[in-house]
Amino acid sequence: MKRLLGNRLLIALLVVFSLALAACGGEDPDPTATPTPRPVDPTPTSAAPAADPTPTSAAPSGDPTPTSAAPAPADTPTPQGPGPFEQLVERAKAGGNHTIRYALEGVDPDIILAMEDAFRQKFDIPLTLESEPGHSSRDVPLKIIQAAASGDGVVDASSGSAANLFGMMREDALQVPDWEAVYDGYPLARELREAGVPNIGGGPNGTVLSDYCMAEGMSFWTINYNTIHVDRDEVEGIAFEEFTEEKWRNRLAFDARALGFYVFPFRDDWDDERLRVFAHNIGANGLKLIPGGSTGVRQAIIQGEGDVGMAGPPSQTLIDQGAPINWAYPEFVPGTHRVACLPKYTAGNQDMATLFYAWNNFDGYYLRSELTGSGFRPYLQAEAEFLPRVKAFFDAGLTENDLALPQTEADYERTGETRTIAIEAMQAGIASGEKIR
Amino acid sequence: MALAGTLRRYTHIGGRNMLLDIRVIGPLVVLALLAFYVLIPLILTVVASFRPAGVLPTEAGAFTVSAYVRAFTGADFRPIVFNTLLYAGGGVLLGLPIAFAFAFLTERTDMPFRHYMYLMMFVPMSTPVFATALGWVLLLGPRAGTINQWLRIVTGSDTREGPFNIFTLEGLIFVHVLGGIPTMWLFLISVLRNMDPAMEDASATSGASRWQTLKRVTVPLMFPGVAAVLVYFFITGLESLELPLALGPTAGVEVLATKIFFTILPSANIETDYGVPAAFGMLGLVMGLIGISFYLYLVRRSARYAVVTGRGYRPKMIRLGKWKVLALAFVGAYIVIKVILPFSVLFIASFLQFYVPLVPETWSYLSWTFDNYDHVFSYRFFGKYFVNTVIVAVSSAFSNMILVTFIAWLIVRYPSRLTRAVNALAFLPLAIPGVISTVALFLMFIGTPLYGTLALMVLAFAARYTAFGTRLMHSAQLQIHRELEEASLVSGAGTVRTFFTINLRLLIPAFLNGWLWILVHAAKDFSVALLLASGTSALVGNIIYGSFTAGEFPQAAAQMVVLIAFNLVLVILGRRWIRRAVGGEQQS
Repeated sequence: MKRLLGNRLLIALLVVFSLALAACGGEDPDPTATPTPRPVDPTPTSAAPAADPTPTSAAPSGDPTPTSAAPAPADTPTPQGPGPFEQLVERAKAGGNHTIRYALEGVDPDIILAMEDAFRQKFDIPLTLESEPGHSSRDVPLKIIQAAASGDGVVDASSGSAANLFGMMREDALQVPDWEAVYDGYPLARELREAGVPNIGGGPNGTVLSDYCMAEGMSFWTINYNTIHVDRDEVEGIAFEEFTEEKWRNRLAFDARALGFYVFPFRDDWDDERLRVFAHNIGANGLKLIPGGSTGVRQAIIQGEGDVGMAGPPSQTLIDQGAPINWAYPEFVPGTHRVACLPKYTAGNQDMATLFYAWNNFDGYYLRSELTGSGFRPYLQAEAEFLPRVKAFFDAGLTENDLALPQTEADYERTGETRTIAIEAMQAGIASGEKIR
Repeated sequence: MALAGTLRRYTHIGGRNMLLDIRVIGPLVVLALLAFYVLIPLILTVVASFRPAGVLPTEAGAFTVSAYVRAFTGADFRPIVFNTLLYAGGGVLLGLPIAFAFAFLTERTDMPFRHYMYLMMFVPMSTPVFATALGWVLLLGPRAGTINQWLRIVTGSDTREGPFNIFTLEGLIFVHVLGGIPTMWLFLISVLRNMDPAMEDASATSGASRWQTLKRVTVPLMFPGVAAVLVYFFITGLESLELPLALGPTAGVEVLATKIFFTILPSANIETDYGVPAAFGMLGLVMGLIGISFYLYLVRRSARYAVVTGRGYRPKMIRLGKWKVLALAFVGAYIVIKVILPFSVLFIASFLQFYVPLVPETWSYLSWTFDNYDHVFSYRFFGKYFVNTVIVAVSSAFSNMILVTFIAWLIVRYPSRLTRAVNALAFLPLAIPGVISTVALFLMFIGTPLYGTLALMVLAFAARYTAFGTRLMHSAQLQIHRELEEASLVSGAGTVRTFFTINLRLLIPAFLNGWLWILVHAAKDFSVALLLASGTSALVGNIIYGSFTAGEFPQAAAQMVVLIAFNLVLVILGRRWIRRAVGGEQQS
């Protein structure tokens, strides 16, 4: 009996262990995949976007009409044959591997399916989106940089804060996209490179960030409020320093990492000292520091742990479902640039990556905006009809002058310092409970 | 030829080839393995701590102590050290008496339903820490916590906050204590189970009073085991990250692990500075090494505590009589607080479109739905990650437990300088903060074919749980007297066969407990895969964490309900297996 039990146990242990290790392949290679073509070293056409290749599209470069409203490239063949964008589509289609790996952590599967469907309808390519584990602006950039140093690719597209992406540029982890093809398919890309990419240099061979990236939009922070305890009138257009008044005592729930107001000093009428006093005084006003960024703040507002907080707006879906939360623009809108770029080495089909990169920043962006209300890049009035939050921004009488944005390389390099000022002042205010000046 | 001769002179002693001797080759193989996944991350950490900002430990460059200066001269340094010691110390000092009481009730008394303790203790282990923390925020948030709101309603209080506040250091320690009890209990039942009551009986027969027996027999017998648990959990408290990350910022409490996390992943600039987090990591390492030294000192006298022999042996049960009700109430209160309350919140949230407190003010906002479970049953969006998780968790549990059982056997049976080195090295991963060892493995393997595979994650979990497994099996191995193995060897069985047929079988209960522990911990983990997994090798923990951080709390709750149910089934099956195996032993 003992021998039998012992042998059975031993055999079972070894068999399961062997099977498990044998299965540890991890990667699930697409049998149809072709070897990843490696891009050549990023030798940009210039240090400035103005000298970029002239689009060959029929659409004029200044045409503000987004592609989804404009005739599709396939509908406007030039007499010379297929244009650069159409050639890109054909190469992507022929490339075989139609999987795009991207930082999609936490994205609703319904949205992923809708994106794949829209892409398939437009290009007749069976796109599969695959989520790369890790936070899009913390873990994934680290992976991209380290992988690039080894000549490897972990994702097919990268977007995020300009602060993240300029680090990647300096580490030579980005590639110059085929702008000619991108412009041909989406003429607004040129304007998004000019209008929404901060002037940051330091890339290889004297390149700047706009050599590699176009604006994806903005991370921006608004006032989120609990609709049970707060009326919209109380917070719409509110001056931030009003939150230091007694009316808001013990009602504030802000991000523990000073999300939003660490960029206040980049407005002309704010400086570090004003930020320090403001942060200290909201701390002394019974502020609750919430971890988890905008998500944490919104959940705290919904459940009533705080009545108001600064965070990215909640999704329109959540509001429509009846959650007790809504949002409003304050006196000015703090934010940081988000840019969309291509990693130097992609994880799969290079042409597919470029095609997705272009599509995702226009049709994909508008689609997500339609489904969730998200998306904010108040650079081009022409896009307002596709982006409800941009429309609301202009409707509220706000303009680009009402943004608090780090604009330059020096600004972005200083955001760590301003964040520290804000965090330490909030904590000091909470600890002392006493307002200053 | 000369080299061969030299080699032969050193490897052949007394005519025997020592390379074929398990006492030599065993520790050497284990040392090589441990060196691979323990020493390399450790060396990377040490090197990183002496690098200037922006220079990777793997890159060429100058060495400097500036990271130490920056780390240790900041205004927050002293509060961080103080908070860390209070958090780790408070957690173990408050949790240990409760865990010991539970272990004693489980192993040495006739408390009703005590066999269900295994189930009840493994369920909370399978819940991700951040989910438990969130559960407590939703219950004891000062303003909106459901318990707080109901208490205010019932008492007619007109205040808008309290009476409890989870966002304090005390709140943090409270949740830490609750979370540590199940694993402490697991260690302590091994200590208690193998304590032969015949020694206490002999003491009593010799005329010693109960107090004298307790002082001279019971306490000395248990001391190394209990002290080891205390030291072990103090060290795990030092590097505990998830809970301080979830509650610490609101409570205004920063500890060593959160400091490392926030400095290693700066949110405003990608130019990662590994120097400062590595310097803080070195501080944690030094603290951990002090604890390890103390632990090793305690167990050095371990041979005196071998109490399971070839003789028939069964632990003596204490009849509780009328105290049964009190004992049950004590255990029941813990189960309610630790398991039922937070899990209920998760379960309810999994059927809501968005979570609001369950109080009259927000009743009209409750919006029920089954949609959160839609994608949980989709292979593409959940199933394949679930399969990955099962593969990684099962492989990690098996590979780790086989390795640590072998390590514990070598350490206890063949004490030598080599095995002492193995013992110390096996404990080291505990002292290296998890976030640092993951980054070290990431830097080691990025760009290699192993990167992004499930095998790399199995390796990472092996590194992470070696210390736990070795401690568990070491305690169990200490209690197995070598006369049983000697009988086997005298009967002609070889060393390896004796290990498998005698030793491993006697250790089955501890082995399977450790196996289950690693399995449920690996199954809920998300941090390892954040940097080491690729798109196809992500784990369920990542999907849950992703939903959670994206604000899809009800979806995350549904995913956690499924994960906990899966772990529950595994625990039930595992327990049945253990009981059958132990029953089989006892019958035969």
